[in-house]
Amino acid sequence: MSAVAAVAATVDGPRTKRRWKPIVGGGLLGILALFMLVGPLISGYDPNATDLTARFSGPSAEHWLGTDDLGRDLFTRMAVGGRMTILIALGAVALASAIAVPLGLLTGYLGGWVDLAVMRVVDLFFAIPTLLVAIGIVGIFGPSFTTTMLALGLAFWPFYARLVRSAVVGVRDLAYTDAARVIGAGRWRIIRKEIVPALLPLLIVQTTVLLGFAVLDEAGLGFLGLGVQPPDASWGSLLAQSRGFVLSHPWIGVIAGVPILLVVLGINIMADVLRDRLDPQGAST
Amino acid sequence: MSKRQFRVLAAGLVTAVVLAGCGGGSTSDPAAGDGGGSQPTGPLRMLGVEPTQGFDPSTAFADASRVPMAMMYETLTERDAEGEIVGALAESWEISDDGTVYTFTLRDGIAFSDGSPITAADVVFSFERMKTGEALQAQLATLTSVEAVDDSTVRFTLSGPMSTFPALVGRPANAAILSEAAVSADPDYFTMPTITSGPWSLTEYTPKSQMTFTANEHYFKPPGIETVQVSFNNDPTANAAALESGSADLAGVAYSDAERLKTEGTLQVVQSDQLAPLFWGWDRTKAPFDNKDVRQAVAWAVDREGKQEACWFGTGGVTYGNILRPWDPAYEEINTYQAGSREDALAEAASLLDAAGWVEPDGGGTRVAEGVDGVEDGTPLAFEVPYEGNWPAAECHVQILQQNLQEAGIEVTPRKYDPAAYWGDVSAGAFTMYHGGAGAADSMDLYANWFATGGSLTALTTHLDDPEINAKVTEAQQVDEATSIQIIKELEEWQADELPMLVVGYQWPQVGMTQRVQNYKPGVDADSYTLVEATLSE
Repeated sequence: MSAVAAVAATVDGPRTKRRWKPIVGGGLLGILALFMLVGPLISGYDPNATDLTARFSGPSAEHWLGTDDLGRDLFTRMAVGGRMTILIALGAVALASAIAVPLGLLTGYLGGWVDLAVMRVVDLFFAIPTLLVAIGIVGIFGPSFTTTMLALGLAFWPFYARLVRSAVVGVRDLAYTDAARVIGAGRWRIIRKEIVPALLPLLIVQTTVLLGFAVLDEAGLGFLGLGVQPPDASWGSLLAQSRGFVLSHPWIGVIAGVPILLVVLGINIMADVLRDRLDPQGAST
Repeated sequence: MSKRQFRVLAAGLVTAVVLAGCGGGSTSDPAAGDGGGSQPTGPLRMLGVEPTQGFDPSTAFADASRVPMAMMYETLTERDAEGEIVGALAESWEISDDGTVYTFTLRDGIAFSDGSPITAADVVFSFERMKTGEALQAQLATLTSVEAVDDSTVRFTLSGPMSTFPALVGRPANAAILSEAAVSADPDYFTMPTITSGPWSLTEYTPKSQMTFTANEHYFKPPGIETVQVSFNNDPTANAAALESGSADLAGVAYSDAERLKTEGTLQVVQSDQLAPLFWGWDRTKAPFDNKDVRQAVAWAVDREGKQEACWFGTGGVTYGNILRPWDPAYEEINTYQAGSREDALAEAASLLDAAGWVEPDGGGTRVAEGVDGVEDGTPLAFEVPYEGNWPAAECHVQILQQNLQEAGIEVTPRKYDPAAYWGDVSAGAFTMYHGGAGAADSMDLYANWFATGGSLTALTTHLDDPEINAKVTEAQQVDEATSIQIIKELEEWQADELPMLVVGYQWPQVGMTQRVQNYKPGVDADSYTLVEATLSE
């Protein structure tokens, strides 16, 4: 490589690398969203309707992704199951954010006994694996769509709260917040007008990252039989269902697993893109 | 990657998961370090479920406990591989002319696993204990006395004749002969019973992990396999992979795997001929199933061939009224609920539901109550149907039920249930409708234990408490064989019409074995009779 080419690569490299990310990440998520939204409409099948004459039929013109042990159309069930998984993930992240962001803001800004008390509760949650917390909650209230969402939300908030608190601690004593204080701004105004805007990039990126974890954990709970219950489908429950046929009809497991991989990959790439855009100083190359 | 390579890889991965799950803290694992089956001999490695009801034969009635108990406790009689009653600890027995006195003679030289002799006093002790225990209390109600005539002779006196008494004293595990000295000496004896009368002794039990049995050298018929190690695994879908990888020798396998394994031919796959009806149980004390019309409507609406094909991969069979199978002496074909077409069956169901007051709302959908006793008008005909969470075929079956009943305007919500709590909650009457399957040795065993008040499985199946049925069952046990068969036929017809439970077919459990296991055939009940005869190849 010539010196000129090397210099050109150095200059263009990061920009080129950055350019593919929104295309790949956005493309993946866009295609999957389209699949989930219109898939059942174009397939024309009821996701729970059994057809015992068409059990385990492989991918074909009639059933694009084949059928399961009860002859249900896998394309339709994957699309509808994807909706369930994404809704659970969105609900869980929303719940976690609703708890963690206010708590993180309060504890970080106020400090003192409030900080001490809340962070000790957070420490308690840190001592237990996230999925175990979720399993415990599902175990108490029974598996369902709503319980799974609640369980994941309640399992995620401590991590998020700790992150927000740390970020607030880093911002609360900066010159511009001191200036606001000096000119007589109250606590709530400082939090709303000075601190929250400074944290927005972090919150957006963290929420996106959390969404990926929520998808994976929903799949985990579903695989353990603790998520959406049959005959309704989620990606996790479809993966669990495929396990019984992993040796005789392996394509079902592949079909159930690939969308999880793609959506988490897409979310992570988009989280990276958002971080690049919203926090240029810490941008990856 | 070829299909074969994929399967080997997948089998390895699943096995790793199973073994990780089964691995416990035990340091006395006899299979440890055997390299996943590289040793030509050694323990028989079985996969089974944990004995969640413990090892007390007078209280444990679930097969999870009965199967290991039958390995360590022997009974006076037992069923051979063909289901015939033969002597076990008893060499022979005599019946008085009036059929009320049974005199059993014990085998010479029989002993417990510690070498102490098994005497008539131990038999008396065991049956007196059984009479107050939950498992056989009801069936031993007619036993008025049990006495030791001498060291090897026991006399049972009944209040009336009972032709099934020799079978009753051979009920695997529950009719166990215990060591009076061992049980009396240790209040915690049943936590880890070591002095026992069966073919093997329990030598190690690690909860949540495994148990190990060692052959009882004093047993009258030495087992062909010295050591049996049972690893606990609640996931039958992983069993085939464990067998294929060589990390287990014997396990029940899922029906989907059984078909594949039979085709591939690398493992032995045999099926049990046990009478094991599949049924829907229900709460007949309240709406909607207090009305026979509703029960019969469901009987019309369920698709029996479909579920057998989809969930049991075509094994077993279906029934449209009978419980017994065609080769049972008391079988007489009943096809009450067989329709010419699906449309005809649904029409029958609709007519019965209309008559019961569950009517189709304008625009269709789930039926609603209209004039149903104790039910507010407009209440939808909807309920949950729980099933055992570790039984894949049950999950499949409930989903098919949901589709079937939806077509009849009944809304079913499947509910995966904790297996450890399932049968306890069934017994407590917690469910409106539920999925079930259980085994019986023969027709008399079935009607005595499923239909008579206090039968060992009545609370789990029919929930019957009907003096007329009790009298019929008792009579069937007291009369000659031909009359008994006639009474059972009448009971078959009665249940097909009344539907105290809805039997829709049978399952024939599939057992997979590596080629190391020789001479093994699943028995007709929970006993270890056929396992005693099994051997391991060099």
